[in-house]
Amino acid sequence: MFAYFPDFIANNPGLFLAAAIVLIGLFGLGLKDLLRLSPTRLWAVSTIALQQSFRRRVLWITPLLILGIVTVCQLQKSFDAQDVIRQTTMVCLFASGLLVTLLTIILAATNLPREIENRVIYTIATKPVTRLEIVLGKIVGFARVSFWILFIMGLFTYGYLHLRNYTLRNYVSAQLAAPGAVDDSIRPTLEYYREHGLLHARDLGLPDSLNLYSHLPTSPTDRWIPGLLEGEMLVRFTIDPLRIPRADPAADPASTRGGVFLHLPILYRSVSRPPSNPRPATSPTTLPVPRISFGLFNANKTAVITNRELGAPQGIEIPNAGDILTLLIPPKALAQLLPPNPNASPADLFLQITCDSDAYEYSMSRDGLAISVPETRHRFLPVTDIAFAGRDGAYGQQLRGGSDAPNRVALYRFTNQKPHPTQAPFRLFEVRLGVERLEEDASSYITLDFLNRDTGQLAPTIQTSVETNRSVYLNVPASAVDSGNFDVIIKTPSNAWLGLRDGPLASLKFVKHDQSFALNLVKSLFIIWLMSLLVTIIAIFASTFLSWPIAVVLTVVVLSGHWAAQQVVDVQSSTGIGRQIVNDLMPRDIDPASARAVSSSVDALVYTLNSVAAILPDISQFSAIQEIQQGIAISPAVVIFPALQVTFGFGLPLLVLAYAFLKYKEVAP
Amino acid sequence: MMPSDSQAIQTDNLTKVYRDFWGRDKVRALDDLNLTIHRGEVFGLLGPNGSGKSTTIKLLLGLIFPTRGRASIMGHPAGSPAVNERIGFLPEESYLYRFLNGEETLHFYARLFRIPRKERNRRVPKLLDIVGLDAKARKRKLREYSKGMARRIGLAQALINNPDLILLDEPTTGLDPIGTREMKDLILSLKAQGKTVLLCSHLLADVQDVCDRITILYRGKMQTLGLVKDLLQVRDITDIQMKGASDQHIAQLKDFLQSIGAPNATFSHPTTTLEDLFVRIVRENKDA
Repeated sequence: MFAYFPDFIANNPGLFLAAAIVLIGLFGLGLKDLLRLSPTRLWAVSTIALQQSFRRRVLWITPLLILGIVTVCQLQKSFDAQDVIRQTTMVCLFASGLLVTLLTIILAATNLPREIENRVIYTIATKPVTRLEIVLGKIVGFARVSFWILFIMGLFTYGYLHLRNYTLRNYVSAQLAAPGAVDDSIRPTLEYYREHGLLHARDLGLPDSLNLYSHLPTSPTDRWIPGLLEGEMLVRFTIDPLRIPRADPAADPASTRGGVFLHLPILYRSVSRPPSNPRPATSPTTLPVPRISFGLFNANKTAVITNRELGAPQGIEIPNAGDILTLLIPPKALAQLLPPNPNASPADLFLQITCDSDAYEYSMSRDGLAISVPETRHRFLPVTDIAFAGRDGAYGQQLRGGSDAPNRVALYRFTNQKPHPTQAPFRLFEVRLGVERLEEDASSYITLDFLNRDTGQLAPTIQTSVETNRSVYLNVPASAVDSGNFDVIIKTPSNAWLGLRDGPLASLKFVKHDQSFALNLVKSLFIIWLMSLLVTIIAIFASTFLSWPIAVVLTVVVLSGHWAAQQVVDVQSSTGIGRQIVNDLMPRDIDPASARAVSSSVDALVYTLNSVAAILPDISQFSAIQEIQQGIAISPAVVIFPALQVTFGFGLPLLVLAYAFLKYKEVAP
Repeated sequence: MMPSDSQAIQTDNLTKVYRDFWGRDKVRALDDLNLTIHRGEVFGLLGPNGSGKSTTIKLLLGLIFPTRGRASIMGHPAGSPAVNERIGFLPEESYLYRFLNGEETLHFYARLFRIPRKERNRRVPKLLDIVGLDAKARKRKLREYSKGMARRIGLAQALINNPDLILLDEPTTGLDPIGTREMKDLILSLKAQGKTVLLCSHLLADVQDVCDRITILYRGKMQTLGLVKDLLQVRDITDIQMKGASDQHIAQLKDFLQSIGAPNATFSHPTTTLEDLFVRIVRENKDA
C-alpha cells in the first residue's frame, strides 16, 4: 500500500490537497468548534441571511425575470415544435441559473465584509457562536435563498412548458389531420409528438460502438478507412514500464535502450472512382506513394508522439502491402509518454493512424500489430479491437455522403440492448446528428438499414430527412431489433457531411421508456442549485479576507478560471505544443538556442495554464440543461454525480479555508 | 498568575499593538494591562478617547487578539465560545440587524444561546418590558428606532442569556436623563443579583454613581485603580450635614469651631444634581 502512496499523490494532487486541507482544518484547527457545532445556532445564522435577502426584496427579481423569459421565448424563431420546447427549456433554465449565480455571488460576497464594516459582527461573534457556525450558517442561508428562487422559477418553467406543450400538440394534431401537409419522412416524428407530447425524459438505449468505413464490411477482416485524413484507426495498448530497460543518459544517442519498436501491419489498396467523378486517365505507375501519419498518446492526451518527432512531418511511406512497417520510438520520446516513476503501474497508450492519399483505402491487421522492446524482444499486444473512426468535426465523427463517396458507411453496433417489449409492431428510435451541407438550401437525407445479427434478417431500408441537432423519430420493425443484437448501417445520399456521435450523446438511440418530465426538471434545478452552492462557498471564502468588490471579482475569476485556461490552451493536446509552434510558425533557419527558448517558454505557459485549470473548479460539470432540453432523462451517475463531485471536492476545502481565515481574523476593524 | 473562582476578569500584561500592512508598529493601543475584576462588583473603565478602553473590551471579547499577554474570563481564555455563554455585551452603538423588529432581534440572539422556544417566549417580552420598549415599538423595524430605543434593544440583547458578566460600552450614550437613570438603576439591580458589570464610559458622573471600583487608562496604560469612594475622598476636609438647622444653631456651631481653632469652616445648603431635578419633575408630571 505504501509503495503506491506516492503514486497516488502524484496522480491526484488536487484530491490530496483537498483532503489535507479538510483533515487539517477540521480535525486539527477546528476539532473543538466541530464538536460544538449546533444545528440550532447554524440554522439561526442561516435564517438571518435568508431574511436579509428576502427583505432586500431579492424575490422581486423573479417576476421581472419571468417577464423577460416570456418575451424572449415569444420572439424566438423555431423551425419546428420540438425546437420551440428545446429553446424554451433552455431559456428558462439558463436564465434561472444565471440569476441564481449572479445573486449568490453578490449576496454572499458582500455579506460578511458588510457585517464587519457596520460592526453587526460584534453582537454575533460575542455570542457562543463558533466561526465555523458563522461560515456554515451563511452558506446554508444563501443556499436557502437559491433554493427558493429556483423553486419559484421551477414552478414557472414547469407551468410555462406545459402551456406551450398543450398549444404545440394541438398544432401538430391539426398538421397531421390536414391531407398532404406532412412529408412521410417526418410523419412518425409528428405522430410521436401527438401521442406522447413534447415534454419528455426518455431513457435511451445506447449503441456499444460506432465505426466508420470506406465501404460496408463484408467480413470482420474486411474493414477499411478512406484516405485524405478522412478516417482513422485507433487501438489501445497497456504498457508495463518495468519491462522497458531504463535509458542510459551517457549512452550513444543512437542507442535503442529505453525506446520501443512500433510494428504496424498496414494494408492498402487502390480504389475505383465513382463513374460520376472519374480520376483523370493515368497509368498505375502515376499513383501517389501511400503514406500514413501516426500519433501515440497517453490516456489523457497530455503527451503525444507523432511522425513529426521521428523526422517525417510529411508522413511515413507504407511498404509493400503485406509487409509490416516498423518504427523506432526513441527513448527520449517514449519518456514523455510513460510516467517517470520507475515503480509506476502499467499505463495505457493509444495509437492513432491516419492516411493521406484518397487513391487508396487503408486497413490494419491485428496480426503483427505490436509494440516491442529491442533488448528483450518482449511484445506488448493491443488490448482492444481496432476502431475505425471518422475525422472529428463540429458534431462528432464526420461521415461523407453524396455521389463522390457513395459507399461510405457508419455502423452502430448494439449488443444485448433489448428494447422494452410491447405489443406494438414497431420500436421507436431517435436520430439526432449534425449536418454540414455542401450545397445551400438542399435537404439532407439519410438511409438506415437495421440488421438483426442473431437472425441475419435485414429490415427494409428507412429513409428520413435530417437537420442539425433536431431529433427525428423512426418506427423500426420489432423483429429487427428485439433480439438486442443488431447493427444499424447509416449512409447519406445527400451531398453533405454527417456528424455522428457515440457514447452517452450517441446520434442513434432507441427509446426504452419515458420518465417523468417533472422529475427531470427537479434534477436539472438540483444541478443548478449545486452550482449556486459552490458559488456561495467561493464567495464566502473570498469575503473572509477581501473587501466585497474584490471578493466578487475573485469569485468570478475562480469560477471562470478553468474554462478560460482551457480556452487558451487545449488541455487535451497541449504537450509538445512549444515544439510544434517552433516547427510550424518559426522560420526554418531559426537558431537552436532561440528555438529552445521559444519552445520552453510556450511549454511553461501551457504548463502554468494547465496547472491553474487543474486546481480550479470545472463548471462545465454542472450540465443542467443539455439532457433536459433534448428530452433525455438526466442520469444521476453521468450528470449529477460529477456535479456533486465538483461541488464538494472543491467546495469543502474552500469552506474549511474560509473557516480557518475567519477564525484567525480580527473582526473588529 | 492563575485565575481564581472569585475573579470575573483577569488580564496579565495585556498588550495590543496595531500594525500596518508591512507589520510595522503603528499604535500601541494597550500596554501591559494587569487588571483583576472580582465577581459581583461594578467596575468602571475610564479614560479619554484613544486611551485603550474599547481595545480592552474588544480583547476581552475575542474580537481582536492580543499582541502579548493574556486575558481570562471566569477562568477561561477570553473570546472562547464557552465563555461567551456567560457574557452579555452592549457595544457603544447598537450594532444590530436593522431589518429585524425588536422581538425578532431578541428571538434571534436567544436562538444563538440555544434557549428553548418556550423559555424564549417567556423571556423576550419580559426583557422588552425591563428596557422599556412598549408593544408598538417591539413590532417596528430597528432601522426606524430612535437612538435611545436602539440602546434599549441593545441592552435587552445583552441580557437575553441572563449573563454572569455584562460588559457595557458607553451604556448611557444617546439616552435621555430618564433613560440614563433607568440604566443606572438597572446596573445597580444587576449588581444586587450578584452579576459582575464592567462599565466603560467617559461620562464620569454615571460611573461615579454606580461603580464600586474604577481604573483610569491613559495612552494605553493603567494610571490608577481603586474603590471609587477612596479615590474621590478629600482627606483634609470634613463635611458635616444637618437637617432642619436654625440660624441660631449655625451661629453656635461657628462659635464652637472658632473656639477649637477651625476658623475657615464654611456653611452652605447642599444642592441636588440636575439629573435628580429633571427626573423628579418629569416623573411628577407623568404621574399627574
